[in-house]
Amino acid sequence: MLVLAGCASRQPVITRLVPQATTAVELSDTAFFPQRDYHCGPAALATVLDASGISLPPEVLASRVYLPARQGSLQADLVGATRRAARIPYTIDPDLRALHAELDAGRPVLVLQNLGIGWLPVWHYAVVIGLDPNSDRVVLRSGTVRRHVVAADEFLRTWRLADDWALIVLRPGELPAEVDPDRYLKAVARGERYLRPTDRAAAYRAALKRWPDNPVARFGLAYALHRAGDLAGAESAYRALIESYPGHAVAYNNLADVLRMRGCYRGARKAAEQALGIARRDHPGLLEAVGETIDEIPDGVDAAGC
Amino acid sequence: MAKPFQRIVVALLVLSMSLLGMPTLSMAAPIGTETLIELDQRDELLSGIQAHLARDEVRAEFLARGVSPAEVDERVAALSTEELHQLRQQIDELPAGGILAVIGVVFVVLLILELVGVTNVFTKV
Repeated sequence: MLVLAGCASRQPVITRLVPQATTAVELSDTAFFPQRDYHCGPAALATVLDASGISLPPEVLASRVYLPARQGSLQADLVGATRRAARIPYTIDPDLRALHAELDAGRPVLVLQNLGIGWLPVWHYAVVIGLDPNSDRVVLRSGTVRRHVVAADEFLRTWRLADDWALIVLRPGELPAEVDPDRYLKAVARGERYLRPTDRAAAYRAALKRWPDNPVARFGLAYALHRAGDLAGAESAYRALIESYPGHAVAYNNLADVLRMRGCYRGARKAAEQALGIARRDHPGLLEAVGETIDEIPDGVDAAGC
Repeated sequence: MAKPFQRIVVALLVLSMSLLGMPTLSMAAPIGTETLIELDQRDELLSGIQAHLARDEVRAEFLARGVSPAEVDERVAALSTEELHQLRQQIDELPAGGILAVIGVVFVVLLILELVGVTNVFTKV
């Protein structure tokens, strides 16, 4: 059946799937790291990291993503290594339209391909840097080929066999061209401990600009301020969150911590008690953490200005 | 210091939960956004200890598959609970992109497919 399909006349794929793509786009400035050994994962990751302002050679990335016994790199490790590089790994929607939107925004897209067939997979990572609706071709940085041009239907076949998996690397503060709030915030939160405090705040501020009431984004920013030592900013952000969500045990817990740091022990204890009550009722898994918060609050006189 | 009553309540609750086999999150204050999100995904939170186990298991699986001991901890630490669970179950089945050369039987089959025009492994990598 596939063979027959190969003989059928080709209808332009890019124009059909992405009607808004009228002119060719190619990010020709994208760096190229020729693959060595089985290291297409490190090479492809180095390419997209470089485009986001992080220069890490494939040799360094290999120790972070390559799995020797599999002679390849797992998707999860590419994602993890992106976090460690203080960037945000975001999986875009599995279609050519989303991929085109990213290219249009100037971001190359790391893709997984299966160059074999379903039951005999040959997994490969490459970076899409261009789409040309006129010639109906896709341009990649791939393997040892700097500018690898493939017919769109051929690319789509290999991509489809890999579940259309595609990853972009965001600088903190950037949003994907087409973005799902939950997926974005999850992506930020999972790597937040690798981000500098100012970058953390930038990543959540970008989300708040788009979705001003999103509770996770509001919390994320409060927490970023908290960790950055902006106690006044963190306190008012946690309080605002509690006002909107009176059952927010985590916000109460962290508010208690901020108040303790400010030397306001009475207020800290009150907030921690609230956290404890809610945790006991709704989130038993939090009890230990809240208990620790309580333990850290010293007996003593409140500082001035509490 | 917290009031003794609260401390006792906390201690009892923690104890009773561990007796029930229900894990708790072990962490110092404050609580981060990742935990907040996992809290919403109740399954993940409740499987706190399982997450810990998954981490240890994936660590061992990485080591057994050639990841260097110096690197393995940081590598595992960068993965989310969800990713760890997936790796634990499928580390040898999940796609591992890497080809440069295809060998053996796979080579022969793919070469035939290539010749009849189904794949482009050899010409287009």
